[in-house]
Amino acid sequence: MNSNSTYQPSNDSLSAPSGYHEEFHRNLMQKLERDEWQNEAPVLASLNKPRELLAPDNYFAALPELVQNKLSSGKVVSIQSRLWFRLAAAAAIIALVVNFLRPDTNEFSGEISLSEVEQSTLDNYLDVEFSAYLDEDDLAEIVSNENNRSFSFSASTEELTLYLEEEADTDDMAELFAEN
Amino acid sequence: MIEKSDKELLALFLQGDNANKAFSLIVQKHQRKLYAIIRRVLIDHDDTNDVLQNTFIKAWNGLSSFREEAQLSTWLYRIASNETLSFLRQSKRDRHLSIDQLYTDSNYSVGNAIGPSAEEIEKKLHHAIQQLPEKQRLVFTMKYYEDLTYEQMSDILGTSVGALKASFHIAAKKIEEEITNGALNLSPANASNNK
Repeated sequence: MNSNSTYQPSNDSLSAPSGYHEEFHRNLMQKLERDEWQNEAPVLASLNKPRELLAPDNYFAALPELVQNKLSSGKVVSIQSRLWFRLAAAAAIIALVVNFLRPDTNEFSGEISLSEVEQSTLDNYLDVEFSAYLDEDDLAEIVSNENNRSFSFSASTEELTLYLEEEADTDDMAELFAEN
Repeated sequence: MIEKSDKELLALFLQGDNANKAFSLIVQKHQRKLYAIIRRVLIDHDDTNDVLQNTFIKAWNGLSSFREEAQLSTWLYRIASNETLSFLRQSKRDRHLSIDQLYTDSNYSVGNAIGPSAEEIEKKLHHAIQQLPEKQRLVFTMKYYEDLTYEQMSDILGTSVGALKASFHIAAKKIEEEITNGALNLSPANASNNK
């Protein structure tokens, strides 16, 4: 995405070729960002990047036709699904949201209050850490421990709604509500 | 043959008569980059193949309503990212096994440009990446291997630049800790000697 030149020469010799400024900006940002993380992680920066993971011979030559065949046969490749578990987890999360919501303050009670946490820290936590760490193991713990009430975070209704909207699988949620 | 631009391919697709041909050209044009990023995260080729096929099938289903608010490549990356994360969440396979298999794969171990010590470091790096939470793994892969800018990643993942920076920073620190722990005991100077 970043390595292919996208700009075309322009007929006007005094103006930059089409796409030049966008590509210049991207290349500059790449370099600045690379320098930044390499300063922060010198060991990682000093390593050779692992080699490319190769596809089997002729894989790419065959893939377009393979995809077309799947489309025309109507057979969509299915990935192993554990829908029942995801639905249970979604239901548990919804139950927790409902049970923990305090109508008077519109916030969750927890060990840390919003006023003690910087907004940027909270944003990063919710945006990255919460969604990144809440995997199936976490969900399994929630499901298996319905009476657990010791969450140690605090978040507003809007933030949690946003999280649920971003993270929940809409098909699963639709199915869940249809069943109920 | 001059490669058609995404805009031209999209126009061809929307004309209807040549939709299949146009879509095959879109697959041909983007398959390698999508494969590379999915494979880096999932390691296993068969898993990657499943996710990549699903990515293109979903792209086919959504392409007629694609409104060019984003670049086609960004849109495809977004579908591939969602499919990869979805696969990781649904699949609890032992990723370490995939890594061990990787090092017995003849496609991977060709050439003598890399010595045993470097290979050991590389293996440790792969293991460390696999320990990351799913989203962090994807963020780390996009930055470290693909050299995407945070702005590009933000467009693809729908996450703020600040959050992506924080995520990559945390991931890089974890990986540094992992690869400098134990027997290897690397410092930047020692690591460089393995090049």
